[in-house]
Amino acid sequence: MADRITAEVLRSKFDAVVAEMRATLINTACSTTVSEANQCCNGLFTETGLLVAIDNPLHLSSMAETAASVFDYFQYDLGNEDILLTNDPYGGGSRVQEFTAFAPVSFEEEIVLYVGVRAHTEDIGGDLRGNFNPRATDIWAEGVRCPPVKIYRDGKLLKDTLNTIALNSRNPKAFRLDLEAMFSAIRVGQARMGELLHDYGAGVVLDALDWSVDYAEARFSSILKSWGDISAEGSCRLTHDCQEREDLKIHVKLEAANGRLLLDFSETEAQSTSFVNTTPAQALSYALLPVFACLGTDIPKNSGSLRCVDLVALEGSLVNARLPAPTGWSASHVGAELALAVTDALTGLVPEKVANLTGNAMLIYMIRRGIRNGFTVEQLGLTDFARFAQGGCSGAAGRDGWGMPGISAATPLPSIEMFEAEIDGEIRKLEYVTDSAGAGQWRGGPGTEARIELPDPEPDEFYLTACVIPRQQTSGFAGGAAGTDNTVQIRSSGEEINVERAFVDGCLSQGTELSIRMGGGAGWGNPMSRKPEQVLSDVLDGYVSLAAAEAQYGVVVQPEKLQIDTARTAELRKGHNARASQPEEYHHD
Amino acid sequence: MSYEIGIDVGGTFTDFVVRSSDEITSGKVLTTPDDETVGIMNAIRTSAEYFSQDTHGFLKNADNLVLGTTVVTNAMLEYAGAKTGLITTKGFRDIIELRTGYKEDHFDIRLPAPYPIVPRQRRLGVTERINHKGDIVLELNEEEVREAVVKLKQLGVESVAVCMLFSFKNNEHECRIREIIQQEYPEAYISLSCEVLPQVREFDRFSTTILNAYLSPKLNNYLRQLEISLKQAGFGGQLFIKLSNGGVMDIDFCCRRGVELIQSGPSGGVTAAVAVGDWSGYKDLIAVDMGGTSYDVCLIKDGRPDIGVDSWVSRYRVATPMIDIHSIGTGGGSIAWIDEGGALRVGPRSAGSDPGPACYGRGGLKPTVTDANLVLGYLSPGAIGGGEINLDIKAARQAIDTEIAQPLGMSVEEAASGIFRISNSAMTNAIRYVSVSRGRDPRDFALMAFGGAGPVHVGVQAKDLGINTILVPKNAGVFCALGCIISNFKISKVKSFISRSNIIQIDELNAIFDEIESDALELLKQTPGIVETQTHRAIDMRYVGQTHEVTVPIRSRTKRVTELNLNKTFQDFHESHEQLYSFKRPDQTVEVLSVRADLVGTRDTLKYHSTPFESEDPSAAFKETRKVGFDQVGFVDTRIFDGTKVRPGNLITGPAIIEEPETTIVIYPQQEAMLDHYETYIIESFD
Repeated sequence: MADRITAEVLRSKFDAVVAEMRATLINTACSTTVSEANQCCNGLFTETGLLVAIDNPLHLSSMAETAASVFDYFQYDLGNEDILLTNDPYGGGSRVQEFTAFAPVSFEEEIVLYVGVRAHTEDIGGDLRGNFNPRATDIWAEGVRCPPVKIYRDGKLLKDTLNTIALNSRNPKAFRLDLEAMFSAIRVGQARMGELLHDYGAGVVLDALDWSVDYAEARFSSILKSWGDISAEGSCRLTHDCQEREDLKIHVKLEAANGRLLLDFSETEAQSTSFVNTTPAQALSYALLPVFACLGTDIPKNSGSLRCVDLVALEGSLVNARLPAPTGWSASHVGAELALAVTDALTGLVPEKVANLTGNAMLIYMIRRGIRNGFTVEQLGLTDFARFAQGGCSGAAGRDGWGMPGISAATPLPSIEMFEAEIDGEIRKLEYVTDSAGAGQWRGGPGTEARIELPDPEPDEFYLTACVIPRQQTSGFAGGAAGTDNTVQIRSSGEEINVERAFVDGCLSQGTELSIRMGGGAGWGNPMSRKPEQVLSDVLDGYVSLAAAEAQYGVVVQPEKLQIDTARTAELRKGHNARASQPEEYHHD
Repeated sequence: MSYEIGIDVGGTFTDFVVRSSDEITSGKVLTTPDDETVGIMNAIRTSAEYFSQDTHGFLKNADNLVLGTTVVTNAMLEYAGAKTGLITTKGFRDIIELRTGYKEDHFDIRLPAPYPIVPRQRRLGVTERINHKGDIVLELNEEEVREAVVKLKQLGVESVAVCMLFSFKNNEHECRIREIIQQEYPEAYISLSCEVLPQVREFDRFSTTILNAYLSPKLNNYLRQLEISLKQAGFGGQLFIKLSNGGVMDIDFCCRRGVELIQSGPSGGVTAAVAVGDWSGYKDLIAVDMGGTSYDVCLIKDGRPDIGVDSWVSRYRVATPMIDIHSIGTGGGSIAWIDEGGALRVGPRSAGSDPGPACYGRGGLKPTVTDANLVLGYLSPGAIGGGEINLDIKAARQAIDTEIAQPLGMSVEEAASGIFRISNSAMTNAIRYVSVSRGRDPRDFALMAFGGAGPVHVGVQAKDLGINTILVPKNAGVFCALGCIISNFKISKVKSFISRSNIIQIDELNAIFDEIESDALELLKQTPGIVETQTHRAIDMRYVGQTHEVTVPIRSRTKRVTELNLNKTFQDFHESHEQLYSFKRPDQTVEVLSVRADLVGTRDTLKYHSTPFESEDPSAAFKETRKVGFDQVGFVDTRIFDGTKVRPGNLITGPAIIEEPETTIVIYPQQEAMLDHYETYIIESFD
């Protein structure tokens, strides 16, 4: 039996094992989606399939669900040295690009726990390279489904299975290397857990696994209890689904009582024809992001926390799509809207603990086509421009918005110099846009404008896809204002195209320039409560114009002297209750 | 008699090591945070007393004084650098604020933006553009530059960073801007990105240059003042300063390169670890330094410390080469607490050195790791740090009892053991993570501990990591100061040179090496006290399509790089890649991004004399026996030894404790310690 100190020591070691698996995966993966954008996840599971430790809570529920479905599938047919693989969104997963592998860890020939790895691969078939297909109306147009298979049996790689999957990728070499990286991470996890089993004894380690799950449950429910019995509703709208539908509503009813949380999405609209649907497992992961943020940064996240949550997601709705709906863009939309709906509900309950964690992502990529053999046109490479869309972080109690919202910040902004050296185009500008941030006592972070001149293509070489969701929020948090809209403009051969919704796989001609404007983040709290000197500083810095200072913040700045006109400011702010909430002191752990 | 003085200014103590012709002496005085110079002069006075001299006489005979300073580190911690402005390519003035989108914590919604050391109103864009080939595609608008300089001057800017896109390819515009600044505002400090870090990736280059502009003026004032104070006190020797890259340079060099001194102090510890490890025959080391608030880990492979070129310092990117020290916030002052799930936790909050642990008796009431070490008997109650602090065991017990033992329903000893185990676990997790993320297995290394608190914990950490050999140098407590006097001169240069293995021109490559090496060699030539000069070259490379480079040393001593050297270097890249990332693709084209050269001027530095072994019997050093608590054994009678009396060859079997003046070494059961020829305890584990 593990005493509580040993259990806590082991709990920190479980987290460390998962972190080591992550470091191995990121170091060894071939695709930049993993090595650079870190779109991956590693987890540790009990023998009964409970998730104990995870490095990326974006996949919390979906890793747990995928594990459950895979372990169930192979429950009577699993060897100590097998490795299992799947990418099926309808088997607990999220989207076809993401492959998940599981492997058992055994002690004295008995399987006692599992490790799992998920990685975003570069391509797995479907109509468009990279598997983000706005025209897809079913999952097969996005990519190839792989139900749970054994990729290793008794320690031996099953080459025929691997080929069957890998040869469906447009870049089988990279695909294999990514899988190898996943297997390396699995081996690290197995080895490290094997050492702990050896050093501490199986009884103690298995005890500590259960303790870690119970502990997460205890912390989640104890904080929730301190909120008392509460209920609230929240919603968010997805402006369009990149195909026919507009203004799709995501609605949540949130209830907390006795340390349990109910998230009821019954009033959310029916599933879309396009790739914005989510599976319930992924919906729950996104819905919980703002909840975890409220509970504190060091709150443990595993099946114990999931035990405290009930999800109601009607089948056939956006949050529980029925096969064969596509789900390829779900991590951005409606994932982000789901999280915002929950944030909206939480704003009424704990306003000082809310902000947006997910951004309003755009999809802007170019596929290079070319002929290598005869008349066959191949999709040879993909260039992602969406990463130049920076900004959109909302304000929060006690701080202005800055950079990207938390989750979006995981994908780094590429170096302009490296990018130009690689694509031979020119980035003309990447800078904040004045007055893009939503006003508030704590204003949103500004949005940016990127202007990119593409190199001149050969005929039929460059194909652009761009999907733009103008804005998710019509207002900010706790009385703040919304930020500006996203926009994308394409100037090509003197023509100008404003991308209203989706521009899919359009051929680009010579002299093309993209202008990508990322909207600013929403403000938090009443702008009239923002300190005039903060507004002045924003004016001096060019985040806020003189006109907006006056119109939105009621602060008049003399244009010549660049000083606050105290009398006129007092006049404008008259009648407004200037008592601003002062949040407690910030400590980052 | 002549002296060489090494002084390291730390957060709490200023350590010193003095080498006279035939002996080494060391000690500590309190750091004086408001003016480091006071502490430095105190350290000099204390050293002089040791040699029965007055300060003037002592300094007069001092050849060198090598200093590890925290002035730069503190300026970053407190954001107290010069008022800085930026002139950059129009359309890109927010690169420093966009910081490649990086956030330290993706889930902390209250994490504020970094303190703006150059707020946007002082970041001005001017029309110009150079492309990736180095061609000027848009001429510099000099009128805009003049206006920008005038505006910055009006805003009270003291120091200007000039950062243009692709200036590492073509520095014409940056150099012209410098001329204009010198005309319009001659008093301003100027830092050009093409000089601070002529390397591709604008964010890294801009951030490093901005920090240099921010830090150098303050450092310059401080060092010049110190130089005057030392001269007035009689010092006629050379003053050298420790750099983050592990070397030292004179103050003319350092004053212009503040950003290269950010880890001036800690790098001394690693330099000492390399040297001391080498004397004792260990070239692969994990060096750990545990102080009051942090735990620093550095890997040393084959006698060379890992060098990082992508560090974050006070939330700003520093891309100049620095000894790669991974730091976690667990130290002697880390506070133990119970969370809402009922689990015992240690850190990240720290009691620091003020008020410090409960046992310091300075008003701290929270139990810390140091309090637990005292209750478990690892530390002895009474004076530490040269009598500055008195450890009060009653206060330690009281804090642990109230805050931990009672709420958890356990004894004070059990609670202390819990704190000890949990803090160790955090530290070993950090070591494992550092090793694994750099493609290394900790079991291939020996573990070396220094810093006041490290040698208490290192024995259990080694066991946990599967490491069998532990090294604790006798002077572990003043290791950074020791590092100062054994460092060589070192200038690190880098320049981006983008090419590929199939098209690279050897003459072009050699021309770049010549370009980056010639100035540095000239500078070293003028520096007194250099015995010989060595050049260590390396190339940053990766497979085409990858995003991270591997720095591969060129294994050759030839003056020019030959075709053979270069091919061997590409081969080495594949091997390193496999070692770091577990795969290699020898048939794939390799992309070259930058070339690097470290120019080292070796000094006639300290070499320890080997002391012959005496008997194995350590009884002459035996002091007393006291009860000490060990995991799975409980409290047992444990022999305590006086470290000052332990002689080389003495063998001390665990459980035992060796009390050195500046540190305490715990020898756990199943471990055996021997003091070797070079005054380093070699501790072997047998389980």
